[in-house]
Amino acid sequence: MASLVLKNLTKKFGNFTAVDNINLEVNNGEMVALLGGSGCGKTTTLRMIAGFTDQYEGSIQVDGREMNHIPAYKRNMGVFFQNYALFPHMNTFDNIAFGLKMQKLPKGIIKEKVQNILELVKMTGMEKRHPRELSGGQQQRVALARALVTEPTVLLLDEPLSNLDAKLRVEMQLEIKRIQRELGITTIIVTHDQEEAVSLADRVVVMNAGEILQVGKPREVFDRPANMFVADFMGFSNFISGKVKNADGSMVRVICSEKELIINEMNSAGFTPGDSITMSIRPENIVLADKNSENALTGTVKSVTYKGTITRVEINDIFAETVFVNIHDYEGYEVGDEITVAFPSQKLIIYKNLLN
Amino acid sequence: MTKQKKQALLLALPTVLALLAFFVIPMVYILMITLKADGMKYFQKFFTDTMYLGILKTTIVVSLKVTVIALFLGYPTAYFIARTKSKMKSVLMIVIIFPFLVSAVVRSYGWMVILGNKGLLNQLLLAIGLIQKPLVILNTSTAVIIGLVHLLIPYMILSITSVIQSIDQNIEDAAYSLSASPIQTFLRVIFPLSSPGVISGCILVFTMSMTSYVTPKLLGGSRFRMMSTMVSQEVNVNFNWGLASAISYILLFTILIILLITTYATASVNNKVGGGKSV
Amino acid sequence: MSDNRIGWLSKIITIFVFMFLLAPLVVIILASFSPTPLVVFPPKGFSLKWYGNIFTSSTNFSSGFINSIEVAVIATAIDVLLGVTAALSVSRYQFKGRELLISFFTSPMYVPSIAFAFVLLQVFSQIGSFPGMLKILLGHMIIIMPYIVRNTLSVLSGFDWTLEDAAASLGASPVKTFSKVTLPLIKPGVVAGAMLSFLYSFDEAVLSSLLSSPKFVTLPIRIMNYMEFSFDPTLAAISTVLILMSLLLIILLEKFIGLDMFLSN
Repeated sequence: MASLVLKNLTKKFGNFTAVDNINLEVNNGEMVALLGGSGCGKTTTLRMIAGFTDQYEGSIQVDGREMNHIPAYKRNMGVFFQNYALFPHMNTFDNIAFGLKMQKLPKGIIKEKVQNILELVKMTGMEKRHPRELSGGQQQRVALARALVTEPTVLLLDEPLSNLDAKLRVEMQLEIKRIQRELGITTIIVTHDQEEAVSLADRVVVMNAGEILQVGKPREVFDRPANMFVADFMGFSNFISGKVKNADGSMVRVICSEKELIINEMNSAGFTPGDSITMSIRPENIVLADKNSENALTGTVKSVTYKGTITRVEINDIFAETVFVNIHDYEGYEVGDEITVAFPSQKLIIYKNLLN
Repeated sequence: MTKQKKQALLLALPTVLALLAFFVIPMVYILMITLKADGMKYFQKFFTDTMYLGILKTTIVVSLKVTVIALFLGYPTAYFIARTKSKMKSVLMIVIIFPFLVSAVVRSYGWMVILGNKGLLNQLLLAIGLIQKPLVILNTSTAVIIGLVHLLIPYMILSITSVIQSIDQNIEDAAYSLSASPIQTFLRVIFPLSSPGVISGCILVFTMSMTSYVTPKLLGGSRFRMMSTMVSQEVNVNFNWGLASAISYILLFTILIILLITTYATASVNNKVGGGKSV
Repeated sequence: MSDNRIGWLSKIITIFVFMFLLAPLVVIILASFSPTPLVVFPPKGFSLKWYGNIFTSSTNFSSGFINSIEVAVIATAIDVLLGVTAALSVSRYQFKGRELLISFFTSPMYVPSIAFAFVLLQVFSQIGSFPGMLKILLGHMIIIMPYIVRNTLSVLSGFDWTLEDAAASLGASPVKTFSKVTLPLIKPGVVAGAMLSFLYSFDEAVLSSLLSSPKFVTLPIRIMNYMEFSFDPTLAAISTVLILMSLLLIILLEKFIGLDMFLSN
């Protein structure tokens, strides 16, 4: 169990900067998710921590110990690979025991540890099976067991759930969280799935183009993304341009497409009247309301798409931009109907436009 | 990746050294010695003497014929193997590949038994009255061509089979669904897509035919000469090592030039024919 | 879908090629049992005397056989070591000059063996007396190299390199990773390539012809020498032995590994 500190971590491949001056502190026992699209640098960061990529600038410290010149096979980190990387020529037992054999533990101890970890991942009885005889979910659990059994200081998970079908994914999310809590092991999980990051991690690190855009508790990142990129990534489908009317204390009034809205519970410092801003809100936070409600506006239904759990409605004529709403209880609006929705003042976020 | 490159070069070092020591350096050294001792004398002799030029021409002509025959026989065979679903496939593969593993000496011997004046072919044709006198095939270019086709057609077949197998069958079906006849589908779709395999097969067969030694020697007899057998003759019979050297290097450079030309040609073909691969 | 997409023309030509490829080999096997020195068809009897003649003939086929095996085994062994390391060096990582290195490793393939043989002959004659076995061994070592390199490259192209990362993350040093993970997984393919290279050396007749010394002659050359003074079916008998060796090998390969390695482009 250890703490992990990344300081000014930078990695360049020729002219391309994959990781740009990353600073992050991960506490003992914490699970941190590196979240971002492909190419954002999250996997490169993981590989640097594991020791697979050397020659970087900056420092990686585990419990204060500098990792720079320590080769991967001496770092004692548990790594879970996206493609599982199970040794095809070994059965489940040997796959899991591999790390223990490298530690030169006696046979009896190895057997005991392997049995225990198999129980933990609920794969008892599968010792003799080879990877090709296991289903995707089973392989995944063996890969996890293999990474954990050596009691590593840090656990690194690269897209642990991306290859699983929906049902299995939900199951394994709970499993991973449970195991991590039980073992209390410092964990970094790399994912492109914001739902996964938010449900598993203690803290979420949103990355793009090699940089960290926001670090925070899942709820913070989910509800209050620090900038438009993070907002977009986290599913805020609405971006409405406008101007600040006035700002005072924890309240800001804005005008978008000549309609006035009030925004509460935010830090109004830095916003002055006349500032050009972009207003954003999650589609599921917009509610059906009557015309007297706060921030209620009326428009015309552009399209209705039934998605099972929610119904997606696009609304025109409120702002210049189309408004996207996810409605839980579908109320039979048709294309062309008039519809009134409210934008709850504490769910709105505004970002200053840097280019006027 | 300098650390990784270092590691890679370290691994490569022993082999690089071995190749340099026992291959590159000897070849360059002897070339320099030959040039120093005789200058361009034997090279000039080769290019001004019609007999020698004739042998070069024979070698090229024979190799072209072998390549063409191998292509016309090999392509349909390759297509069959690539597309057949029958259990015959592995048997066919064994039959194609297994002659590979038999020495050219043995294979040529087999053809000598068949093609000789008293050989099996003549026995058969005489017996059924198709001919009155035995056909003279052995010790002519025909025998050599037959022997070389036998030796080299597996290369052609394997090269083309490999490419055709990688062409998604859906593409053929797509062509049929667009009303293309089998012939049109072949000409406009399959053949163009298989051209990389065709080209590499032809290059392989042609160069190996140009440099072949055992087959022309055994099936062509002492009067039929190709470049390789001529080298051997100059070395062992005429003891004219200077000339033998010149002929060797001329053969080598001919091959290299052909390879260079075809590499450029292939590159441009590959740029046009990019797709068709099954994903 | 049935074989409808394969036209009848393809089928006929395939059958013809099939018979064409087998013809000389079948003829040789049948001829080896011919009771008469001249091979006639239909055969007039059955005799094993030519097989006996392999051992009693003045041409020492046995020593030729042993010499061929000796050279083939040693050349293959050395080349497996050199070729596998060479292939590994260019397979793990992309780096500048990688393609060039690969071309270098396979370059002997493009040199006519007669040219190389003659060069070696001249080099050795300059050095002075040099054992025939070593001369042929060196020549074969170079000639076989491209095949082992290409074969191993093809084996490695399908290798999942993250397995090496996984092994490292579990504490395995580079040496341990190679011996416990990489090697076991590439062994079948490498062994297959080695078997083929072995045969290639065994069958080789150009270098062996130019570089052999009176004391060291390989089997293909013995066969060619025998042909100079006699054309009796002893040749067929010894050839049949070789054919059966090759047939055995290819069937073993097909059973254990499959023949797809020949289809790599």
